[in-house]
Amino acid sequence: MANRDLRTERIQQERKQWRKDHPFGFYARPTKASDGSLDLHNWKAGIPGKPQTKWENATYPVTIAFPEEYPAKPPKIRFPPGFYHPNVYPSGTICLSILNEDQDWRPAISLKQLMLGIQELLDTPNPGSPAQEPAWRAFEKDKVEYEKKVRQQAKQYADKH
Amino acid sequence: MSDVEGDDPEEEEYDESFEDSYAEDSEFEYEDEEYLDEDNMEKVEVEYTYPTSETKMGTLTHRMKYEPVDVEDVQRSLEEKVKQLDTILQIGTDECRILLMRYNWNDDKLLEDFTNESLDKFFEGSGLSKNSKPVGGWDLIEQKTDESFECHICFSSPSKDQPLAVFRLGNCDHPFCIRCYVKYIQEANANSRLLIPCPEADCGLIIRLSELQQLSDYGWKERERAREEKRKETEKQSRVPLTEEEIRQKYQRDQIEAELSEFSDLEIGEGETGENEEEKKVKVEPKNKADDTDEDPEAKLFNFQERILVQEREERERRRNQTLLSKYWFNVASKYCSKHCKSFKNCPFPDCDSLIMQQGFDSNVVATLEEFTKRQLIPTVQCSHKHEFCYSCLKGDHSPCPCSIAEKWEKKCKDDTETAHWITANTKDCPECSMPIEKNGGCNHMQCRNCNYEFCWVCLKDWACHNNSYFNCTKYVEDIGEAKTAQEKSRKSLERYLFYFRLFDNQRSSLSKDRELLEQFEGKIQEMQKKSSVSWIETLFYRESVDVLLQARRELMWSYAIMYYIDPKCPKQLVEGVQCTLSHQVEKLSRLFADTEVNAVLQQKAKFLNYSNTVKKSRDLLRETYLDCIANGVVKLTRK
Repeated sequence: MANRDLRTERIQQERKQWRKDHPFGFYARPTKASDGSLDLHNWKAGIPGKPQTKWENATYPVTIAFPEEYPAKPPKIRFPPGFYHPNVYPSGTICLSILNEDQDWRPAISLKQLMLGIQELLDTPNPGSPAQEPAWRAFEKDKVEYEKKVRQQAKQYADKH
Repeated sequence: MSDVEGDDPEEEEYDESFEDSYAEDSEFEYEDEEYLDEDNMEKVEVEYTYPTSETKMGTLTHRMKYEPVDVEDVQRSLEEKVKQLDTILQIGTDECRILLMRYNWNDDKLLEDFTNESLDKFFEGSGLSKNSKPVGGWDLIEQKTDESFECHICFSSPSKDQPLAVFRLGNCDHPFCIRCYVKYIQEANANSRLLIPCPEADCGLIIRLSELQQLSDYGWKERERAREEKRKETEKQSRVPLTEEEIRQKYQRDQIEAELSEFSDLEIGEGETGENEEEKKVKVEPKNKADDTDEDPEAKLFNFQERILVQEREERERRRNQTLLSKYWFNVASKYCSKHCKSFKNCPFPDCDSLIMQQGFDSNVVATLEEFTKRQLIPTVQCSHKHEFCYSCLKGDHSPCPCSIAEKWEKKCKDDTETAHWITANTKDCPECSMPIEKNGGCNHMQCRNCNYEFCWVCLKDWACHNNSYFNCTKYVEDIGEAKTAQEKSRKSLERYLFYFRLFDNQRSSLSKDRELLEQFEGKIQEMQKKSSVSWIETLFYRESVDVLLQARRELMWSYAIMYYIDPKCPKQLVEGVQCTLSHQVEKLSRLFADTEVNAVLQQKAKFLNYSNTVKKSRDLLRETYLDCIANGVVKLTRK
């Protein structure tokens, strides 16, 4: 082994840290590959909507893919395609500055920080950088329609009690 | 060979200025530096696309001014800009460099913001620290032994017996282990990022060049050290069998070395070790000069000068990728060039990495390249490796043909040549309506699909007078010319095109054949140099004649292309006259090359010089004549 694999090393550390301490309501774990082994480079995670917002009582699923160059490059985090949010592309890719290598991504940003950042984004979208038409238009022009759609989506991902 | 040697002093100079510029410069040193650079400036001459500002006939040439440069020249001039800004702002060259990069080197806008905004806000917004500590002898690298420390990137900590080397920026307290830092910067380099922030999440500080230099130097030194140790190890190894302990040590060292190799931006990694590089450098010489008989025969044919160029280019590329710092600097310069693409263009020749810096026009009417080419002038430039190309369309030199015409011609050649050839070879035009017809079988009785005219394929006369003799046209045709007038008209333009195309194509193939011949000759001359005491400089006249010949052929070639577009009403005698003269002299010179044996080259020196001089003169005349004729409207390029 010529070079130690910084990516895998870091991901393992992230996993350890996450297990030790993670914010309430969140989950994040590596996926299983087809042969049943653990795929450290692709994770599944869930982000709860903040209480007292229209996103509450639901946990929104995301996928996290760690590229070869991680942590020099940010992981790619996506909601399911078609996710309703002004800053989420139709493909589900999230438009957030800390997830952008050319903007605010830094190697020292932890998974926990990313997750909290996305949770924050849910109820405080940034209308300055729209990523999809329907949600952005509704958010700007028709708050009633926007809230209705968001509530509807919350129901779809509602927590089972 | 002297080309390579000639480069060395420049390299040294470059390194000096490179180091100096990062050292903290006292006022005195600075003066000194500027003086040195002024000397440098004198060496680089501004070149012109045309030798004189007007032709003998008094036509203005509005010539374009340019300078052949390479990335290192651009780096130097950028560093000049940084220093100039620092004399105004007095905040340190490191800070000025970051500011300039933020403002895309637009110092006017920068100074405006600097004076208008509050200083704190300005600094913070630019990723600089208000009370910046200059990076001097103070070491940013530290061997951490504190076990509670944890690198926030890889989460590793120092242990009791193994300290962890960490790096931090001078103005913040965010240490990370060196390995992570290097990876981070490598990645940023690979993406040509110039403003690289501290890896900590909420820290907006931008890494300064002198900080980067410390990191880069550290990596470089460590790598060299590891190599040296390995070399010693292998020496020892070849003599004595290793003990178990030694094997363990060696394994550890190999691992360290593997890690350290990451410090370089070289993709090639391990194979390219320091010693090898040294050897390679030395080897360059004997390879070209003497006695390696096992050389690849194909390589021998390959032009000698070009081979040197390729070697130099590889050497430069290696140097540019050598360290984090050099790679970073390379990115700075090349990004600058691409951002200012109006005044910098890359040489389009394959394997050439030089640039042309446009420096305006020698004219009081023409100010932009568009205005220049609109006047049917051609911005032919020559890069530092003597490649000639058009600065506007970035194709090989096509003077005296203006860009628009050259483009039209090339398109026409591409579209029409094949078709035209096929049409002339395989079809006849209908004698009635001139539609081209292909006969793909059957008898001689033809009926045109277009006009339903019936005629005989052999004599092209009305079928009615053939009395049903299907396969033989027995009638002797007396006046075939009369019948074909309509056809002639339609074919005339095609013939005209083909006429000039053949001339063009003929020159083109001569050009490539000449080049081939001369490359072989070049090889022979080299052999001669090895055997006798003929110096490189003595055979220089030969190479220069080669260049003259090839260039003249190219110009002649393009002058035929223009001819096709000249309006038939314009008097062509003048241009045809000079064309004829040049063509005659080119053939004479070409013949001299073909007839001269290698051994006799030196005896024929006077003849070579004489002939190539005449060719050069006629070539200039051709160029001037075309320029005059086009500018004064004697010939109009109006034909489609």
